[in-house]
Amino acid sequence: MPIVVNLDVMLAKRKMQSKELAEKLGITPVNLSILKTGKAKGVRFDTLEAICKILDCQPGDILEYVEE
Amino acid sequence: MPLYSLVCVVTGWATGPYGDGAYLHIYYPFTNIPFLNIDNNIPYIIFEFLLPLGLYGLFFWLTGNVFKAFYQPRLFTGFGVKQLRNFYVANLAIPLPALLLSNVFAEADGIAFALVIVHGILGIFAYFMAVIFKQGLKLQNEQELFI
Repeated sequence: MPIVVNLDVMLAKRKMQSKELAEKLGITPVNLSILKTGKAKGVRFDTLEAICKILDCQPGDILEYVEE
Repeated sequence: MPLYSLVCVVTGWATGPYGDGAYLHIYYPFTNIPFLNIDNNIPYIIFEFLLPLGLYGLFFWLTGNVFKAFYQPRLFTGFGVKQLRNFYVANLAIPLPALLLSNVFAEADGIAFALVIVHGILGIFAYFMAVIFKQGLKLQNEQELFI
């Protein structure tokens, strides 16, 4: 998929663990892993908003378009 | 009941002939109270007694599994789809060949043909349900990928 999820990069920048983010988002670590690995079919605006709030970033910092 | 009847007929236990041996009682276990009265000849016992009894045992077992599928915490599951598929395949594929086979050895009555039609209708209904469940499962799995 040409949309790449850079959640790992942002987590590293904020020195936060996936488990902690999953807890703060209120989703399971498995679902967060699906999101990080790009297996998700879509991201809800609610989830994106919460991620941006927790990681103090913009949606563009997490999602990137890379032409295949 | 099919298993008990089979054991009784094969072993002769808890059975007693009557009517000059033309008929057979199958008694309640350890009693002399008749439970089932059947003709005492092999084609009747196999094709008009044990075969329908066994197939209805299978039918009710499959029906139980279908009901179980509806009582799961999640409605659309692989288990449910599988049970509905087993149910419709059994209802569509078994009754007519079983009736035709029975008809070769013993005369089948009109109600048996009516039952084949009823099972066919039930099979078609279960087929629709299975297709709906399959689609529901697919949509549910897709929905789970929206985080």
